[in-house]
Amino acid sequence: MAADRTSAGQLLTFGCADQIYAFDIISVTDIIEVPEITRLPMVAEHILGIMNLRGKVVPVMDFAGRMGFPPQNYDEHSCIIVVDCEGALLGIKVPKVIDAEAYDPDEVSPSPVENSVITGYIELKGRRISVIDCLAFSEKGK
Amino acid sequence: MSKFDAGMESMLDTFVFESTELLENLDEILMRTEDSELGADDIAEIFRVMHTIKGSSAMMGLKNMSELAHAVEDIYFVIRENPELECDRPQLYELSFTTSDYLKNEIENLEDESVPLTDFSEFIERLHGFAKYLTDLAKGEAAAPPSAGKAVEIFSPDEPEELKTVQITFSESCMMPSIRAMVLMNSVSAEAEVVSTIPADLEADSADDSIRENGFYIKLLCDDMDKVIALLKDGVDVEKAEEIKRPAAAAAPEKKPEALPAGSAEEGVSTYLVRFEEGCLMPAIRAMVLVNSLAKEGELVRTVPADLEKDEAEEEIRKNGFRIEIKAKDPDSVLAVLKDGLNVLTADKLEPPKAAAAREKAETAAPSAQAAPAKAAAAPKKDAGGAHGGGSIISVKLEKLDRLLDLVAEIVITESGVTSNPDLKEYTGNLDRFHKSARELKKLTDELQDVVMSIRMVPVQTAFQKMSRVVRDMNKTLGKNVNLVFVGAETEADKSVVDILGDPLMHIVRNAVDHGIEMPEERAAAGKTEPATVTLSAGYESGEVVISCEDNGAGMDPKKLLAKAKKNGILTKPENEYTDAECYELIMTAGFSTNETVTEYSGRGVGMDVVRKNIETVGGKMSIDSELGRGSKFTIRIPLSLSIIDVLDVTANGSELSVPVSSVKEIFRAEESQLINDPGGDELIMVREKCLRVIRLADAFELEGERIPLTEGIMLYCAEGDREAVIFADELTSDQQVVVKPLSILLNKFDLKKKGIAGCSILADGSITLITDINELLIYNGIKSRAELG
Repeated sequence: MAADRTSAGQLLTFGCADQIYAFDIISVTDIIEVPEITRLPMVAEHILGIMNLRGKVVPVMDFAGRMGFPPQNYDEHSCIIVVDCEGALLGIKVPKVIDAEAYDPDEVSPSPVENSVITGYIELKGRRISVIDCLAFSEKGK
Repeated sequence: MSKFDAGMESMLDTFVFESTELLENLDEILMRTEDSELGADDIAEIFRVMHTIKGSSAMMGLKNMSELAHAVEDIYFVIRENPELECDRPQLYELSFTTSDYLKNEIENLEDESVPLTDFSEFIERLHGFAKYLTDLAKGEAAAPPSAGKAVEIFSPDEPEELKTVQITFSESCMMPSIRAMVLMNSVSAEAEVVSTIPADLEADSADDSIRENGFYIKLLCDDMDKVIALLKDGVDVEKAEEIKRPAAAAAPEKKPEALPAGSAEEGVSTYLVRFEEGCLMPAIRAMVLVNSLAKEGELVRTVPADLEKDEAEEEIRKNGFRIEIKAKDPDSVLAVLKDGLNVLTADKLEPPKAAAAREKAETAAPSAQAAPAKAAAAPKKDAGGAHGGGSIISVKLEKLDRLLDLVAEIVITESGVTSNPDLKEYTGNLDRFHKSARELKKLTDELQDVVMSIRMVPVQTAFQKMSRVVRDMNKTLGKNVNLVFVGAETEADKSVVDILGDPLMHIVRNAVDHGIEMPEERAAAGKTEPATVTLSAGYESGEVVISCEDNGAGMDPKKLLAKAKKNGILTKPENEYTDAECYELIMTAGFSTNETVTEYSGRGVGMDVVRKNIETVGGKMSIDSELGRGSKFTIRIPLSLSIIDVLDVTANGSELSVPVSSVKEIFRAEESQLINDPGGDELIMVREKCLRVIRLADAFELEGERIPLTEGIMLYCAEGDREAVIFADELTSDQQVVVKPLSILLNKFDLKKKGIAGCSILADGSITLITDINELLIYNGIKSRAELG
């Protein structure tokens, strides 16, 4: 039983462009309202800028922009999910956070695409959820 | 099995830290004095270092280290007692340096239990041999001057009798006795006329030391001496103030402390002299034990030295023996107890000769005359100790400072959150008092921030100093006589940055001496007359610490480097595409070594690439420049990641940017007549007969918006190194101090640093500003340095 519990994780699901995506909650450090974001010159368009997260300067990416989707509508439900990419924090702006749901990582069907930002897919409550690899997503080391 | 006493583990950190510091101090003294004179202060300091290490390692149970330090202490003891002694200095220094290395090595391996304690006994034998040689030498010089001749002449022979002398002793913790002394003089001026003081010049730098050593004397004329004394006693930090009289006879104040009075004239009191064995590590403690064991035998009158807990006691006992005066019923049994004591070499009962008794009486009449020389002998040691253990310096773990800095930053942000709270705007009442307090608070938090920042800053000197030792050792083995010169060693950088610098610098300096500098014959053959020199310099540029190591040696041949790299198969593109600068960079590639022979110091080809990696991991850069036959220059740039810099805030097309003040020479508005449009499309400006490029910040940072005419904005005349240009922004908004934070590594792929953004900073209101790096900006925008222009 104990082994089951440790292998079971939680997913933070959020919606974007009529799809549901998720980060493993282990890598999520904060979910915050969209703060003031300082624009950065000379960076890719999906880098929105940098924000002040309790005294730390954290870059912010637009989720839709990074995935190559058209710009989304942001409203009061929009927020920033802060993930830890091997020590470096990254803010990701998403249109809407849905829920935190328990899942079993073994049930995730791995994506056959190499180096994809999507690790795999899982079906929960009849919906397909794309699980994001935040390290690949962050473009770290590229 | 631990190497040191169980129960001492908690002390290990402190022991390692203190001993390392002491040994560094020792190295510094040895280095400084090797080719010049070894002053009395230096000898005392070395003695103190060895003494402290001896004591603390004995406490830790590290017998080998303690004995080693003891042996060296013995050598310096002889030297200190015979300052005129001409001895074999090269050997003395060799022994001292080796000791320092042995001890350092031993300390480094302390926590590693797989490395056994080193047996130094062979080396200690050598030290003992040297000490004996010194002692013999000293005996040969019969006319060695008395060692305690430091006493101050208090009474001049032609002094009138009505002139009173008051001796004032300040408490040991008194920081600036000379200032206290001045205050005292003023306070008695109403009651007495001050004729002179000893020391005479209280403003002289030496006054403090002199007062600490000899006490402070005021010669004055007055009616009511008691009142004056009372006034003096009220002074801050004054421990004692008493009138002293000229000794009845011409009591010689320079009397040696060795000539201790042999006994007291008092009835029934007998005096014993105890000498401890040479090898006794802590005679003062042994003496204390003896005193305790005598408690049953009779009533203790006094001991010499009186205060066994003082540092000087050890030495005094070693030199003069330990004297006990006791009112005992059975003198023989006292003697037996003494002789039974641990480490006791001899214990004798002294018969009080009449002459001695008489002399003692004279001495009680002139206590100060006696006290002065005794203190003079003891004080310098104490004084030197003040700099380290005197309570004015404490060492703190860096993590604690990090936490403090974070907290302060949060306080500053919270403070502005409170004082500019939107709710206040809605409040209609009077807020004058609130604003006054808010201003006070801001002033205090600003100061707090400055102080916390400054705590972490240390001069790069510490990193440089270690190089002296490296160069010295290499000079001895390689015979290259390299001079090491420091420039800007007082440049301060964050402690962590200075710590990081240590290893890379060592590699670079070794390379410079080993590969860079030629052998003396080669230099002569090449017609080089100037002495072989390695220059380490430090300074700030664009919010970075710039450290460079320059040698005037052979320089590097790009062709040779290229050929070598080709042979080793580390070229990444066709040979003819390599520029000179890229050729130099080849030596920082893994698997490259130009020296055919591998020496003790360098040449395994794993040096420079590791150095570069180390520097790059902390966000630094390394560059190499060289000229064949003239020398090479290695430059390290490390961001002042935690340093505060002054910046000017400007706007460019609506974006806020900060420019470091250090990069800006001048701020002005351009006149139409100054502007020139180059046919190529560049905008130029004439500034005092100089034609400079205008760089629009908005263009440089690709900020979209309208291009306003150059006359409507603000011009910043910037210079970095020998690159110059005028930077154009829309508006100057403010100037402030900020803490530069590097941008997230997630943004590395955009090369923002190369394009001119050094980092960012969080302002008091929580917003973020980008800090420009003018040097990089100029380079990226193609501004050539004067050298490149030819």
